Parts: sequence; structure tokens; C-alpha cells
Amino acid sequence: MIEIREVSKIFQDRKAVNGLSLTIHKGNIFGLLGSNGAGKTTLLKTIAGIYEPESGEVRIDGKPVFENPDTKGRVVFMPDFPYFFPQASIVQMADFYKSVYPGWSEERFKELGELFPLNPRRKLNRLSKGMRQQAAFWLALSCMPDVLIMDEPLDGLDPVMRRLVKNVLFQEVAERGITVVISSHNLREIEDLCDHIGIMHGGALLIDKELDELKSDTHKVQVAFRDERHEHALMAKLPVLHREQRGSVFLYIIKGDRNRIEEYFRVYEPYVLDLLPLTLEEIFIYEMEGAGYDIAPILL
Amino acid sequence: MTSRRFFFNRGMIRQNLRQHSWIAIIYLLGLLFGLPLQMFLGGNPDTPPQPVDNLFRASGDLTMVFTLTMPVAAGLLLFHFLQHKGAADAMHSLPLRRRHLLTAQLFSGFVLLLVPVWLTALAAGLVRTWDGNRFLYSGADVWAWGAAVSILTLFLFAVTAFVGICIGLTVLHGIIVYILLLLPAVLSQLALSHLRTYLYGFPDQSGFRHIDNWSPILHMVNVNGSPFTWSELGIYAVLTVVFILLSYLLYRKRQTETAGQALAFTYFNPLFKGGFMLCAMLISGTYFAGMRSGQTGWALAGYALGAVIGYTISEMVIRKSWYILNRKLPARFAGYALVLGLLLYLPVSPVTGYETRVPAADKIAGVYAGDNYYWGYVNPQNAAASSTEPDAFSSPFRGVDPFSSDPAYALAVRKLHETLVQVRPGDGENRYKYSQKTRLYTIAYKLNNGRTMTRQYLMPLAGFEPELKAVMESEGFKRAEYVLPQLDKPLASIQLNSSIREAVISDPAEINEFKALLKKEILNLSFKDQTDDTVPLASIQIIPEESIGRSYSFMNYDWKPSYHELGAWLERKGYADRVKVKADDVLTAELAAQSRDEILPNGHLFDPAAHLKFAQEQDRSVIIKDKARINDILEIRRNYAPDEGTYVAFLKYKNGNGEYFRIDASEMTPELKALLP
Repeated sequence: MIEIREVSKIFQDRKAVNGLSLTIHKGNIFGLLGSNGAGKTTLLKTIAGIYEPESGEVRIDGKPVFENPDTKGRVVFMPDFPYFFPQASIVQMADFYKSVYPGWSEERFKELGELFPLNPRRKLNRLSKGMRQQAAFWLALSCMPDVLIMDEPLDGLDPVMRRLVKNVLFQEVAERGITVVISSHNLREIEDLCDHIGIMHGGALLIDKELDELKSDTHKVQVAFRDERHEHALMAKLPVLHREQRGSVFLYIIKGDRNRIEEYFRVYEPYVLDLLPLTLEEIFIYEMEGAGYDIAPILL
Repeated sequence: MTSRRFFFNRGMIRQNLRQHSWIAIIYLLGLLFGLPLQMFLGGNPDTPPQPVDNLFRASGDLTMVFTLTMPVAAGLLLFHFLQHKGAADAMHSLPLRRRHLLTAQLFSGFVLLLVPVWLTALAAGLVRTWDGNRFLYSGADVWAWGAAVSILTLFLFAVTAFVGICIGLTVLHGIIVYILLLLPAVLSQLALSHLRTYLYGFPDQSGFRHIDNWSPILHMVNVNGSPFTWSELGIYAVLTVVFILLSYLLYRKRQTETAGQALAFTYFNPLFKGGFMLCAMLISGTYFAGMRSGQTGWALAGYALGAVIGYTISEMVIRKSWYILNRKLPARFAGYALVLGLLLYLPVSPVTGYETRVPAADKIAGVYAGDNYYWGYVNPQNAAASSTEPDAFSSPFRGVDPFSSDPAYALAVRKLHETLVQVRPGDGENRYKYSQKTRLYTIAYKLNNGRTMTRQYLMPLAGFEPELKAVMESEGFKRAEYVLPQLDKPLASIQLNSSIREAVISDPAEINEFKALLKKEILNLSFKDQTDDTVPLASIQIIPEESIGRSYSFMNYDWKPSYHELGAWLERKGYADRVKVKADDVLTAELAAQSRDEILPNGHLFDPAAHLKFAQEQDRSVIIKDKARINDILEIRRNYAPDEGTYVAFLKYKNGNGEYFRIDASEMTPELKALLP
């Protein structure tokens, strides 16, 4: 379990993370979303114990991370641009990780080697970005971490590799119960991967919810009333996130139980009533509109 | 098991060695080339091996090229991870405490750098007895060399590591390391030159090796001439430990995200800016003050320019941008300029009382006045106490206490000093203006509290005759100025040289008689004898026995025409006849009137040949062959100076050489005057 309590991180007068609290449970795949500069990477590096927060604390299973090798030995951080020693090959890097990470598994390293089409003796600096990302993934999982923190890990991967990586991650979570934190600015990319979602803006966490909860909780309603005055009566009773009117057809995004919402509308016997499912993207846009944020700069 | 893995991370060290071993290889090759190989290269193969007391004297400078660069290179590479964002993140995400990471890097550096040094020492030890080795040295010398180079290497590496922890840019890292290593010498030279310019009476101590040696870089470059002493190496060893401890301390506080910033700790910013500005101000101010001597406006403009340049550059470095203008900038700059201006002004302001201070008579334990204080008595190569190589080098000043405790002499010096600080002759003028009518004298007091107070003044003789007479006729003055104790040493011989001939006194009895007479003559010298510019009849070179077989800075005397008793003795013994210049030695003499105002197309004011040529062109010169007239010239000639209303005389000797002299109008004989057109 990762506990983040009131964490603030300041870079030269600018608060990159501002009093953020968050709990990520064991076995979760947590997706951290946000636009560029929202503070995602800073938060991830603080969780990984690379940055020392100015205030607040990060604990993993109750123990601090920063300058604590016992905890850090169970945490692996994968940056957006993987770093390898100059001139090193995968074998050399593996050799190094083996000496540093107590959980390193040679067996796992060999197993994963079957999956990735990489020559472990080639110099890493000569590989493409995607191949380096694969190598980083391979090495990271061979360390057998309990917590895996990944910054934009799928960026450079082709669709086949993306699927492979996702499957390996699912397998790790299912078999070993590892906790995964993934950041991305592209929510469609991680929609089918994460079971938990956090969205950051301006150093703060706007939303922190389970994906299923989000999906079952928000509904798009298209309705044409017999009498427009019915609308006012309904609006007072339902938590409406968003409202649009196209001629006589009204469009609502409403939070709440699907059956109850339908019942409310049926009372007024509208000409048309449709309850539609929402895409993840729509949920975020409307959620944040409800939270009073301008959508455009937050999500791409 | 786990704790050992973390504390002394072998993987980290193995990786460092794998990545950076080329440094060790270059260092090893460089040192092997610089020391053992040089023992067989160059030089005349027929000369017998030369004994050296220190391997640095054999080939120090070449090895130092590598010792100056390789430890810094190793430090830059091993601590590059702090300055590269990706590397900084990767390394700090590893399950290693910072102190373990630092230990791994330091240990890797030690291995990379020390192994080459020790292998080279081993090689130097092995080839010690081989044929063709140009040098003779002992096994202890090899150990000493190995220890010295090890300490210097570790010191440079530790400094680089420490700076690396404070700096976020690799390029700046390297620059700052070398600046810091130069700074102690450069800053003290600049500060001394600043004080010399603006503090009346501040002594000039420049040009002595010991200030250069405050900078490890300059000392290492000069290592052939002045090898490191054990106490210096001890200081470097202590500093190495201090820098390493500071590295551990600061690394704990360093933020990972400072990779890529100029300075990793913002509280170093004012220090960096201030230090940079101070150096720029001193350099620029001293330059302008030197170019336009005595013009305060130029000097002030120099300081202002230095301040602006220093502030601008340091600000640009810190912000990593040349767009630094903003509304707050002028106010901040003014703040720095004010503080630094005060820092520069206060030490040279009247507040300190430095310029007017004359110690009270009852506080003085000893006094010195004269012109060979620094180069003779203080210079570490001459002085007894601090000399590094007593066997290889000596001088007559060694072991001589320059101070006299005679109360009457102390009173005379004090009186002169008091007059000087009131009248302030030569204030603001160039101290080294050449003139025979001025003296650059150092006044030094040994105070009762054990401290020494030193001043230096450029004083004209005119106007200070009574005070100078009291000083210069004292025994205390003559003893230190003429280094009389050297006459009490056992002498090998005494050589007399005039411009054309020489004689040697080597009979011990004669030497003793001569010494006694010379001492008596010197002690009898009047103020006038010491200040006039009559041409000595010969120069007296004292050859002490201790000077045989080693470097020695000799101290000579003049045979002045006023030494009547000594002169009579030399005449009696026949030496005078053998060494004096006589009319028969002179082929021709040429004589002409000269003036300071003459416009000399191709010569300088002090060039006698130009004055004479100028006179020849105007047919004002005369060539004399008459022995009686030449004898007249020999009697009245004085050291050459282009003084107003005097004559320039050129004596051409039969041996082909020639010499220029001056003749004063008041001393011209009527016969000589009659010859001139």
C-alpha cells in the first residue's frame, strides 16, 4: 500500500505538487492522468524516493521511502526516457541490477527474455526508443518489485508490444499482487489497463476513483419533455454534472444509480428518453467540469 | 548480508571501473612517460648520473601535467550523474543510501587514480639501478615521490568531488574546480596589489614564489623548482579529508532535481556572485589603475566596469540565460556593489590608521631599514628558517638577523618614518620610477609583542637628508644593508673586478687584513659616501667557503674612492695596479654636453649612446686621445644619468669594450672644458 500524505514539492518558487494526499492499495494498477506540467512526473519521482518532498510524506507499507534502501529495494522506477550506463548492454545492466536489487530473479530475467525480441548483448545506446523502453521493462520486472512506478511507459511502444506489456503487467498483478502506478496524458491508452484512476491538475489531485465506480455512476440522458417546466422540477432532485439543450431535446450527464434516474424521468412521461453509456474520456471531461475546471487545457 | 551489499556496493564500483578505466590507463601511461621514461631520455649519455634529492627535480613538470588533469577528469566523470537529469533520477531511485553511493564513487576514484601512481613509483624503483639512468636517487626518494603524488592526486579528486556536489552543470564543474585551485594565489596577489596601490607604505612582496605556492596548480607547475614539503603535503592531506567530509555532509542535503542548475545550493548564489564580482573588480580596477597611474577617475571606472561585468556574468551563469534584465536587477546590483565597494575601500581607508601608524619607541624590540629586506632576508630561498633546500642553496643572508636593537638607531628609524608619514613623498606615484636620487627603502620593526610591522617607501634623498643621515650612518643600518656578518664567515677568496681587469686575493692572511679594513671602511661610510654616484674603482666579490659547490646568491661590495685606508693597502700589495682602470687602458674618450630636453629620434632618455649621437650630429662632441685628459675623466667620472647641464663621456677601452659615464659641470676641469667646441 502506498500512502501519500499532504505531499508538497517545490521547484524554485513553483509548487509542482501541492499538498497532495492519495492512497494506492496493494494489487492496484493506478493510472495517473493529467496534462503536461500537471505534476505527474514529480509525484511519481517523489513516490519512488528520488525527490524529497518539502512537506508531507510518502510511505510504502508503512515505511518511508526517501533514503530508505529497505523500501526502495522493493520499488522500481521506470522514467519516460530510460537511463542506462553509457556503453552498457542489457546483460551488463542486468549484472548491475542484480548487485543492487535484493529481489533480482535470474529466472524471471530469462523468462522475460523469451518475450522481448532483443539481443541482450547489444549496446543499449544503439537501440531505438521503443526497444530501450522494452529493455527497461524487462530489467524492471526482473527486479521482482512489489511496487512498479512507470512514467509514460507505453509511449514509444508499437501496438503489439503495448499489448504484450499490458498482459505481463496483468499477470504480475494477478500472480504476485504487485502495485503498479502508471502516468499518462492519454487516457484511452490506459483505459483498459487501470482499475483505479487519479487525475492531476496544477499539482493537485482532482479525482481519485475506481474506474468501474466511475463508469457505473455517471450516465448520459437524452430526453424530450412533454412540458419544459418538467425540467426544473427534475433538476432540483438529481445531481446534474452537465446540461445541454438542442431544440426540444435535452442532454444531461447525471451521477447516480441508473434505475433511480430512469424512474425519475419516467414520472414525467417524456416523448423520448434514452440512457447511454459514457466513454472514459467523457466521464473525465464532465467530472471536471463539475469540479469547476476548464476542460480544454487539462485533457488532450 | 544486505547491509554489506548496501554499504560497499560492489556492483556500483565494478560498473565505475568498467566505464572509466581508460582514465587509469591514460594516467598510468602519462606518469610512466613523465617519470621512469624521462630518466632514460634526453641529456648527454656520457655525463655521469646526476644526484637528485627529490624525484620532482628529475622530471616534475611533465608528471604534473597528468596529475593536474586526470584526478579532475575522474571526478568530473564519476560525479557526472549528479548533473545529468536522467542519470540523477536513475541513480537516486536505486536502493542505495546517498552515503553509500558517494562511498562507491569515491572508492572507485581512489582505485582508478592511485593504482597508476603506485605502479609508476614501482617502475621508478625498479629502474633505479639500471644502466643509462640519468639520475641517482634512493629507495626513500621513490617512496616520498609516491606519497606526495598520491596525496596531490587524492586532493584534486576530493576537491572535484566536493565541487561536483555543489554544482549542477558539468562544464561549470570543471571550470570552478580550476578556478578554486588558482584562487588562493590569484586572489592574494590581487589583494596585495590593491593594498600596494592604495595604502601608502604598503610593502611590495610580489614576485616571491611562496605566494604562487598558495595555489596547488601553480605550485604543481613550479614543482621542479620548489618540491612540496612534508608540511605542505600534510596540509593537503588534511584538506582532502575535510573536502571528503564536506562532500558527505552536503550530499545529504542536495536535491536530486538540481541536476542541470548552475549551483545546487541556492545559499551559495550570493557567495558565487560576490566572489565573482570581487575578482572582476580587483582585476579590472588594478588594470586601469596601473595603466593610468595616479588618476583616480580611471581606477574608479575600472572598478565600476569590473563590478558590472562580474555581476552580469555571474547572474547569467546562475540563471543559465543572457536575458537577465528585470526591474529588481539594478537594486540588487547596487546592494552587491555597495558591500563589495566597502570591502575594497575599508582596508585602504584612513579608518585603519595603517598609513600613519608609527610604533611607540617603548614597543620596539628591533628595527630594520634598507633595501634588501624582502629579496634578501625574507625570501624563503635565502632566509634560514623557511628554506626548503638548505643543502642546495644558500646566501649570505642566511642566519643573519636583519633587526638591530640599538636604541639610538631605533630612534633614528622612527624619526625617519614619522617624517615620511607626514610628508608622504611619492604618494600616488609609480613606486619604481628610476632615479639615483631616490631610495626604495623598507622599514621593519620587530615589536615587543613578537609581531613584525613592515612599511616600504619611495623616498627622495632631497628634503630627508638629516633623517636619512642619522639612519644611514648607524652601525645597525650598515650591518644589515651591507650584510657585514658575511665577512666573519670563512672566506675562500676575494675577487676584485673593474670593467677591464680582475685580481684575486687568496692568501688567508691577506684575506683577513682585507676583511678587517673593508669592515672598518664600511662602518666609516658617511651619508654622502653612500648616496653619491662616484664610479667604484672595482667591485669586490666575497667568495665564502660555504658557496663552493652549491647555488649561492653572492653579495658584492664596491671599492669606493673614499676608502683611503683600504685603497692604500691595495696599492701597497700591488692589487690596485692590477685592477684599476688607467689612462693607458683607454683608446679614446668622447665627450659632449647633454640635456634632458634633447629630442632623441631613435633613443630613450636614459640611453647615453643616443645623447652622444645627437651631439655628434650637431658637431658638439669631441674625441680625446690625450692621456692626461683621459686621466682627468677617470678621476671625475660618475655613473651615467641624463641630468640637466651634465656631460656624457664614452670611454673606449683597448680591449674593444666601452663604457658610458656622466661628468658634472661643477667638476669639469678647465682643460677638458677648453676642448669642447
